[in-house]
Amino acid sequence: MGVLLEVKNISVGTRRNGEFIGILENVSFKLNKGETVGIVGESGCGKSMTALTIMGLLSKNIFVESGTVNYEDKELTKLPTTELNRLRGKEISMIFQEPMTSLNPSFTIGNQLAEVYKHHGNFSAKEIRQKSLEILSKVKISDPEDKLKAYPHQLSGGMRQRVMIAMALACSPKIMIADEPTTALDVTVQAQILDLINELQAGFNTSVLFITHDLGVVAETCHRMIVMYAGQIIEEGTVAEIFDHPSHPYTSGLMLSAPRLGSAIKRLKTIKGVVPDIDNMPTGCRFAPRCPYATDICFEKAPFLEKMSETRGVRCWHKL
Amino acid sequence: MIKYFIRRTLLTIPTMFLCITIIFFCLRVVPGDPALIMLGENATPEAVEGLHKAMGLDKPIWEQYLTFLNDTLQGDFGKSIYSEKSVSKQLIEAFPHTFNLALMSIFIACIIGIPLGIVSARKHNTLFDDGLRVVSLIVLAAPAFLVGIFLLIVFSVQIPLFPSMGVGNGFFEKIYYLILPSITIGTGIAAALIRFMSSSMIEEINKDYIRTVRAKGIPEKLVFYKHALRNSLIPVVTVIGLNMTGLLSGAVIIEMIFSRPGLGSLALDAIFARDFPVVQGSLILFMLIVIIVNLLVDLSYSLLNPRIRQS
Repeated sequence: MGVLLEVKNISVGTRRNGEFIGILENVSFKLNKGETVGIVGESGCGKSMTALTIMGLLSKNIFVESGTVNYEDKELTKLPTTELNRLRGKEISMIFQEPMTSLNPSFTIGNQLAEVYKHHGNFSAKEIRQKSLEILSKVKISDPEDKLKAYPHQLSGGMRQRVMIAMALACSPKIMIADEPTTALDVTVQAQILDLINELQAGFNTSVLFITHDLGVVAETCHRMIVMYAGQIIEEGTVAEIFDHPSHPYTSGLMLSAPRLGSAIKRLKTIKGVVPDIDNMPTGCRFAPRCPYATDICFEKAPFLEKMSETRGVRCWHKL
Repeated sequence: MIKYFIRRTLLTIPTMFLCITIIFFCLRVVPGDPALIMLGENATPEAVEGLHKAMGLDKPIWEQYLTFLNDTLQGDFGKSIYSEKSVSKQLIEAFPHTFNLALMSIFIACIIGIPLGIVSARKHNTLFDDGLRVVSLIVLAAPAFLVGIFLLIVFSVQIPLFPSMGVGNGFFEKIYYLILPSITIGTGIAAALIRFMSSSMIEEINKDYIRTVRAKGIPEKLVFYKHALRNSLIPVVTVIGLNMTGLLSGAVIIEMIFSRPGLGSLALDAIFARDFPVVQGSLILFMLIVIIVNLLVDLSYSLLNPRIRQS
């Protein structure tokens, strides 16, 4: 398994009155060929920001301060938009959280799907149509002929997300980033979409970066997982390792706060407090104010991401 | 789509009927006896009565209404009290001048406003955008009569490039005569269009679907000119339509400044002279214009927005 994508010490943030305000801090991870890696964390911890950094889709006032994103022999953060456009949608693609608003309401599905082929290959109109029909049936859309002519508002949320997946997989990309692809869908549809992603991932041998706050989804789909908190990676490892023995108090808190079927516990545990604001980051460990195990050192000195094995890393002074 | 077009078009019929009815009854309520006005203050009661009879004013109101409705549907708006000229004829004579002016003004507004609005959105928060904002606010704030007189003094009196009055004959001369007045109106509307276009485009460019398009690796140019443009045109079309109706019901002030005949001056003169048939005819024509332009705006929406087309 070779490394396909390597994010190295990425720091992303914004500038206010000349002062740099970090949102992501020294995020590093690798994505291997054919592997699915989950990024987990609460809202606002930097999961989506990480994905947008890789795609080069950060909004104007947010920029990469330092670090690199290496894909094959290219450094993505330094690539001009025109070069990046050759990779986006072809080799690295992305699906988003909100299927309802992620498609242009004024153009047909066929038109929006055809665009991907038009810009990433030399196909005739007939070939594009053929390919579009094929990919739509691959994502299990019934009546693909009709759906090509349909506008987004005529499709349900689940259908639209299938279209999004079809667009993402159109050129058989090497990497697909799925940013909470099932969050906005209801549970039965969620399961179908997850199955679909799993199935296609195996079929296309695509590496998937799966962003979610749902640990159940991670357990079901991912090989390795990364837990993020307040813009930092706080724990990483294989899914089995982390689920068996979460080492960071935050990870363990996340697991306890997930509902489990058949469990006798009446009330779910919660992690008290909220993710700190980027303006008031704690000086020591960022999780310390919410951590039940916190001691003086946690408030004074920031822990580093300690490598425990080839796959495992934890950022904590008091590993569980 | 065709079904929608037909349905939307048929819907205008009850609207027109209602408007015609309202116009009829409003004019009956307005004080002033047309017969008395025609004959003068010193007319004998017999003479007034005779004229009432001739004009059908002695009949019960519903009968008058039915006659009015019948005449209107046949395009007969009666005769002017003063000039004795047929009202329809006067309207038909005046309408093309107003229509040309409105069309040319909107054309100028669009070719200035829409491209500059797009550029202003693309260069959002740059010096260019700020400069354009200042200029368009100044133009917006300047009243049309001021701009008109200014243009007249500079380009017609000081530097005699353009005529100061009249409408000209033949296609090219007509356009030549239209230049100053339509620039006067057009720049004002363009200033508004720039702001509308720009803010509408900025709103669209920040939407989720644009991120999807970019994630597909589509070139920035297409992101703007294909994806964002069509959606951002929808509110702009509304503004254009509203302005068009306003202009077609007569740009009175501009017509006066540039001494152009037109619906505005026709209606205004008729109101001052209490020339009821002409007022009535102009009102009906204005109503028709408003309804037709609104119809066109709605139909063009459906071309831009598939959700309207299919609902």
